[in-house]
Amino acid sequence: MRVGHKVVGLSVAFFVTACVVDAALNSLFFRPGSFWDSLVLDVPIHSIYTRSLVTAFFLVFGIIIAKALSKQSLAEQALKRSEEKYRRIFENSPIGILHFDSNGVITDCNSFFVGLMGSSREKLIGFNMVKQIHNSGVRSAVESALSGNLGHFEGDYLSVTGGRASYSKADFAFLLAEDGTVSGGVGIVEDATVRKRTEDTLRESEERYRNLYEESAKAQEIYRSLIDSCPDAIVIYDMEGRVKYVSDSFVRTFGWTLDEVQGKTLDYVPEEEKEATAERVRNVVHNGGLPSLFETKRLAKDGIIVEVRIAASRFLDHEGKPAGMLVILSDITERKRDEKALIESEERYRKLVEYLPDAMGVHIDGKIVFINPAAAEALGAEHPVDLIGKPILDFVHPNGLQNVTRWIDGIINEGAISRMTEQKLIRLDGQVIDVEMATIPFPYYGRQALMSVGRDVSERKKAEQAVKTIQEELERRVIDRTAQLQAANKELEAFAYSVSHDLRAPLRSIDGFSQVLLEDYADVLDEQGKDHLNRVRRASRTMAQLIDDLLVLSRVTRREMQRETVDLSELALKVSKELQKTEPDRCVELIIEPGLAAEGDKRLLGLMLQNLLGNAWKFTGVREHPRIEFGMLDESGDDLGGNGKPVYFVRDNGAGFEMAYVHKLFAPFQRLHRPSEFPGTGVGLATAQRIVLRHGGRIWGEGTVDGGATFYFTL
Amino acid sequence: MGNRIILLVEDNPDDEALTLRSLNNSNVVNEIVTTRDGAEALAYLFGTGDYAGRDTRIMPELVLLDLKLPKVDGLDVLRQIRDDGRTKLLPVVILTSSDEEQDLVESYQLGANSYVRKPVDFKQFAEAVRQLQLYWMVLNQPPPKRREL
Repeated sequence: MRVGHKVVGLSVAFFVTACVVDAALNSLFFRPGSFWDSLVLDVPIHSIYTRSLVTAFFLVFGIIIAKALSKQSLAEQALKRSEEKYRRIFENSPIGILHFDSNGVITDCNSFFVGLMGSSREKLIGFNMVKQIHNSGVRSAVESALSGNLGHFEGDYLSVTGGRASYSKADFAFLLAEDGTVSGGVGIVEDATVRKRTEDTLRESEERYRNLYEESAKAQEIYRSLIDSCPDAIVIYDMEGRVKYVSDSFVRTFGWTLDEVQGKTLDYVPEEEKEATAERVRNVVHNGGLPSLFETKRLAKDGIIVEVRIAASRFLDHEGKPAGMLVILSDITERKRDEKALIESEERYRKLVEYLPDAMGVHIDGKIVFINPAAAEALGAEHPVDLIGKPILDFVHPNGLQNVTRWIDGIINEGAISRMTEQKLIRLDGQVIDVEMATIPFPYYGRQALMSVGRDVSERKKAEQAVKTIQEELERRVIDRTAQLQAANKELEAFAYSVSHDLRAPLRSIDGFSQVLLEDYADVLDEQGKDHLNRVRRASRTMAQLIDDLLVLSRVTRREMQRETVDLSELALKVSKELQKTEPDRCVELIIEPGLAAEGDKRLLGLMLQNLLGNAWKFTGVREHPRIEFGMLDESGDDLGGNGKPVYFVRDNGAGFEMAYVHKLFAPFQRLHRPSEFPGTGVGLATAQRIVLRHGGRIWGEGTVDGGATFYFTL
Repeated sequence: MGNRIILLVEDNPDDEALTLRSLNNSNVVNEIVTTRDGAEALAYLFGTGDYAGRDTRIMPELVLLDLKLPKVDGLDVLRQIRDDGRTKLLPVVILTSSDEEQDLVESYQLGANSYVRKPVDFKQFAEAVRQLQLYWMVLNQPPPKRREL
């Protein structure tokens, strides 16, 4: 309301002034006939009304003028004051301020600027920035301002007039004249040197801190990964026993994740270990005891017991104060299991050695260091202990001492492998025993030792000896018997020989001279006579045949069997061919199964086939179409009595025989046909049977009267 | 020159008679000399004993030798025949009733030219003799007559 006051004040002032003026005017001007009087209109001015009007008018006018004047002076004052202010600011500003004209010449500058340039006012005022400044950045900024834009420069600057270096920030603004053109400009220059330095330092330190931080973070990472890479579980506790960190191995082994246990106490000590654990923790954490190493059990999250070896230690912080406990758990469950297995295995082996029925001993440098109960017993000791330390050579029989020593040397020096050899040992009581033993070198508690394993074979030896004696006795008897047999055989042979020779000769005579008679005295003899002589001849021939057959039969028995694989089919074929030769004109159908083979004496088997096939040949003599078969039955012939062996057969479609007489078939000299029907001595089948029997087989026959016969045999 | 000689060494008179009959009945004509035991056979061959003074240049062209002989066994005779240069090449046919294999083997081993078993049947026997004679005296080429070998 100062304005209001002012107006009222002014109005009052002007009213008073107006009255005074009015009075003055009245007295001065408004005399009739004055100049002023001529000027005024013909208006009665002497009336109050006019006076008031004029006064009012003058009042108003005066007010207006006063106002205007005061305004002006106010403005002037204000201007003056502001200029004052400005001047003050300009001079005392902590930043450099300069004025320049439209050519870029400095017209004014403050002391700060002077100081910033390191120069003097005199040098600066009149300095042409456009022309004289080398720094292109500043120059262009100035030019920019002069051309009607704002110019900005920031950077290192070396003042031209003062030679002072600084890091400056300058802003140039243009000033417009009344006509709108650029009349010049003003520049604000900041010495940013310090600030920049500070900024730089700050940035550097920031950089450093950031690096440090990164390094520290990296280091932390490395340490963390170190901890996590450790195959053993690691738990880091703080001083209150709360978990600060658990490694990956811990998570793997025990199941809890870091999140689950961080900041809490870890409850994984089994009941029975709690007290001991607490004691140890106390020792390590509070008393700063030496790192503790011990084996114990812990529980995993799923309740499974884990056998561990724990290394616990206290660690300090950067100030050297206890910061917590480091616990490293090594899972030894497997090791414990292996240990247990080892102990069990050891136990097993020890028991093995203890209970071994065979004697076992270990000796080093000739002295017994270990002996098992069986060995102790064998050597006549009450207890193995009694023998420990005794020299082994004490137990070796004097006869064998040299050999044994040499043998042991051989084992030690050359590593010779000794097999079970028989030796004589002497017991404690002096008794000699036979043992069978082997010795090998082997390390025993780190030293080179010899281990001997053996068995008391005295009993066995006695038994062997007895057996040997019996054997010898038996062999002697066998030799005797064989000699006897051989002698008997020789006799038989001689007998057979003489039979073959001596018996035949008279027969030849009988037959011979009978024939002579028939030939020479044919004309003298009548039919009867001739008949008699013929009978004589026949008889002698029969006898000859009998002798031959008997000889064969006896030879079959005497002869030593020479076993070989015989092609029966081939043999049958050969026999058949020979039979055919005896009667070349006969046509007989022969069916021989090929490839039949058997183990046996070739000659005897040939003889047998001769008999069987010969019989077939003979008895089919009556047939128009004789047919002889030799083959093998398809079935193994169990039901036929073959006992699993192959059954061969000779079949013919000849005269056959009556089954009623089948039991007489193989008896020597027994014939089932009359000689007039079929010749024969009745020895053939007996011979065949004897041969088959010698081969361990069976022979039997089947036949029907006039329906052929089949003879089966096995070998 | 006389007929070619066959020496028959046979102890059995019956066999001898029958053999002679067969030999003489054939178309081949030979002089048959018979000795009844091994010793006599050797005496004849080498001109010793009862036959001392025999001209040993005249040798039989065939010897029919029986095995079972008194005094000196047939095989022994054979051995001695083969041992002596004068008779070494002499054809010797063993004519025996034995069919023992060992006799057969030994005969051949000792150098017999042939081994024939005397059949009991006379007809066969006669035939055998005839064939022997025919073969050895007619078909077969005798070794050359040499004094000493």
